Amino acid sequence: MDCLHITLLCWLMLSGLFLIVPSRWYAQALLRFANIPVALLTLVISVAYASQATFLSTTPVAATDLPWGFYFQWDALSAFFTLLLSISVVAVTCFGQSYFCHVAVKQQKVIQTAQAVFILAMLMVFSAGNSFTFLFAWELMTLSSYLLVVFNRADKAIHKAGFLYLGIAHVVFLAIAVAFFLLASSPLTIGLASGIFICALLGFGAKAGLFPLHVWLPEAHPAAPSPISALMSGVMLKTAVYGLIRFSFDWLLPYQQAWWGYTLIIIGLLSMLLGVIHAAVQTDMKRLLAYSSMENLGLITVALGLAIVFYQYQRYALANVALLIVLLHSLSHSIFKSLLFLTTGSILHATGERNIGKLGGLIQKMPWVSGCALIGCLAMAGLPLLSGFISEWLYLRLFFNLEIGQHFGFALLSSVMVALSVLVFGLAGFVIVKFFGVAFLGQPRESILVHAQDSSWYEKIAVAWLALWCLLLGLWPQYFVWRLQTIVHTLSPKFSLSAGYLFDFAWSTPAATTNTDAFNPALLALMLLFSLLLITLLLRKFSPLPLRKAIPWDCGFNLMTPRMQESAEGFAQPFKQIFSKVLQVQLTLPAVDDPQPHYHSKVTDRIGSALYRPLTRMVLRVVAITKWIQQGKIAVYLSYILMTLLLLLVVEVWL
Amino acid sequence: MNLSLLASSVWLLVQGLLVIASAPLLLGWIRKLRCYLQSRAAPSIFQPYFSLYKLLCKQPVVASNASWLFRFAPLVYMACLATIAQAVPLFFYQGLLSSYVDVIVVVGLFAMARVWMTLAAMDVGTAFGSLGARRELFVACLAEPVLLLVLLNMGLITHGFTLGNISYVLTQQMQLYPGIVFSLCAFVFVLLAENGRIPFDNPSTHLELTMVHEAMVLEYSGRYLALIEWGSALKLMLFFLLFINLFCPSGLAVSWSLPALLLGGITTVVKLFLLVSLMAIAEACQAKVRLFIVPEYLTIALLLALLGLLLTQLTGVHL
Repeated sequence: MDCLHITLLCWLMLSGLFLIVPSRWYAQALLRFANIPVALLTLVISVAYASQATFLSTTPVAATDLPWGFYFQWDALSAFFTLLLSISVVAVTCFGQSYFCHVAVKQQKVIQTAQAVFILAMLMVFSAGNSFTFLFAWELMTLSSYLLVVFNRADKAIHKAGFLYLGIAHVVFLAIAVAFFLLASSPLTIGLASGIFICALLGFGAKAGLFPLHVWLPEAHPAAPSPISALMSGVMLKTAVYGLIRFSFDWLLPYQQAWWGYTLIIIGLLSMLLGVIHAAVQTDMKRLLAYSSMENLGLITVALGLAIVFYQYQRYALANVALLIVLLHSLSHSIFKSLLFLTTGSILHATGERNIGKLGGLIQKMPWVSGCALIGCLAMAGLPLLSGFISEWLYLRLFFNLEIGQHFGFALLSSVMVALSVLVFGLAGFVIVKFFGVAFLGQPRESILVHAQDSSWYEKIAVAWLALWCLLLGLWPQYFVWRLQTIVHTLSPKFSLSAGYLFDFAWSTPAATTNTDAFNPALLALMLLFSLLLITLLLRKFSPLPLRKAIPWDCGFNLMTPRMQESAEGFAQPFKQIFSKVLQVQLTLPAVDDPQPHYHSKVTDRIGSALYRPLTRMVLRVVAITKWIQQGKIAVYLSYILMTLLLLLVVEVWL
Repeated sequence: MNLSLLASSVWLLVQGLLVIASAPLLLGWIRKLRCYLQSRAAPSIFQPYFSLYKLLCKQPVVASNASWLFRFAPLVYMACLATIAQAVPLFFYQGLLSSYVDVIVVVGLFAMARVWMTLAAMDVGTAFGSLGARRELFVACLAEPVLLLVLLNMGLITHGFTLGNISYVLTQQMQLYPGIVFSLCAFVFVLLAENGRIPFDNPSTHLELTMVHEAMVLEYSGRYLALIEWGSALKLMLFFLLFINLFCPSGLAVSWSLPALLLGGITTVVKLFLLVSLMAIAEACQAKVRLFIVPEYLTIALLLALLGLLLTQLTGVHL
């Protein structure tokens, strides 16, 4: 019995416990508190494993045979993804203490059981040692998360979203199963390997919400309760990244082709662009975050594609850095996205409102949560000193170091890539200002917001925990990068970085004349703090008058009301206009003489629907043709059985 | 003349402080020249300093529903820009932080300054504030990529990551490359757009539906407004310095010798003078465009920057 199996067993027992606990007085307390220790245990164990990753590379830590063909094992990559999982899980379980407490005990049991199974399934995916375990865990993950999505039964739209999710998840499960099946065939050829990769890309791409299989993501993620959305967006999407890394850099490494990388890059770029444009025009805060997840997963995919391309062009150091970006951005995205989804949970708790255009002024009501949300937002925008910046910095740094002389086509493609990427980074800044600015700042747009309550301590601790990680990752990236480097190194011995190549986080002063530089976020933070302090002191010296509070000036118009602030729609209006080719905007404008004018706008995905409509039409056509088989009479079906039997007999006899 | 590390650091710090201190002077000169061109009586070139002093002396009035973010944002704005000021070359080819702040971080710091200002603009919750914030971001989202592409192009040509490195290589071997020309054109657009100059925004209007930057800071007064005004002047100064150090750094001092430093100082002042005058003349000759023409201009800039990058990759010319 080792730590991995203990962890898995704990989650299994926890889910069983939640399922059978009787609805007595202690049920509530048990349901609320039992999973925190287990989550902390997972964190401790994964940190312990992740911190000795070099040791893990040579000998697998856990290899015990279990009944029913289960087999678990941890290597460095699994340990990293488990760490990523456990950071979010600690926050989510802590947050869940207060988030679910208003729900009836019976429903709490369902949620907590499903959540424990969900976490268990993700742990199993990350630590699966054979394909059966992986596929079993994958299916378990899909089913438990489906249960969690449709938990709120009252809403019809949620059921629709859940069904879409389940449908797509199962269609692509087939692709993953095929990929594993083909992988088992012993003499792999390059053609077969490419087939496997395509299947894996289909399967994992759909799970990651990549274009064009992204349609379920903005429906399903917002439908789930917020802590579950945090898990789905923060961690579940990373299972797809994990699978893609495993297939492309572990199992199929000898057969890897450069065009796999190009495919990933193109898909990733499209996902990034589409995701950020949609995020910019959403009014529902959870949908906005879901689309932003699509954008971030797009970035991760592009980085993975770059890693493959560089690897094929024998630029191992560049491929190494690209893989570092994949891991680093997976980690930082899981942290800030969990944080922001939990924040939306707090907002929902306090106000019951999901439309950002109806919020406002929450920074006064819930200062703690809004402070943490600000950190998450700035990290999401990729601003310096926070976690998102490190991966974007490394990513751009890759392009500054391109010296691919003979691969001319790639050099040309890289210009387009970098242009699109920086455009997406720019738009991401807009998205966070919209999210934070409209929801937290300004005056309350609705009268009910005046009575909004501050969130409970559990929620505050949960978001603060994640905000702390955002800061830690942003201010002290060198530790994480070099830890991740040992993980990347286990994938292939060709991956090794010398310090100072391409990037440097060192404190030391680079030589004055040579062409070297170092980026140290902690130093930058110190410099900024120093300037802040200096400015404050100077201001105090030269402008000592105390400030006076007054009503907002607002250019002297005294008839302004809170309703005249920008709404979420208004804020995104210019982008609706620019990107009208990509978005489908349905506007319902009021008549001129309408006594109660009502404005309604609905934004849908034009490209997604344009791709799916022919597909559904084709399916319907096929169904119309084959419909006559279904006559609805028992006699007919019996004759089908008879005919099948006869046919089989004939085949058996003659062949 | 080889200076010790400490002495050179002190001198570089002084250079950075000089950038910060002289920023309002630049603004004063632009205003003076514009007044001449429009046949108006011109204020003193030091008028921006007087205005700043006046603002500092006044009691700041803050909206009663403003949060901590509103009072904190101007400080962050100024701190970010002051940090960038320590990384750009003025007389000497390096700044104090040049080696630590590469061009990506420079763009990141500009973005951080902007995001804090836009958030602060939305904090009080007036119609004008959020309108300004939206427009500012709308312009900036399209201008920021151009800036990064231009810097990337220069970085690829010179193999430099920091402003100091890029300028150093360019001072050593100044040749005209087609890629640089396209980048230069794109950068002009960014310079005007980021600083809210004509034709993107009119910095001297108030209370007009055309305003962008001014609408954001309407609620500010007293010392906070002084910080923002100074910060905006500094931002303009930084963009001008970026321009001259990226595209015509010749004359910049690369060694700590007195003649070189003198030459660097004189050439920088002359280049700044010429550029600023050019901008003032250009501003006097044209009008502000409608807001929805702005993305068209910026798309042109994006395409120009991309063309520059493509040309660099195509010709494969590296200095």
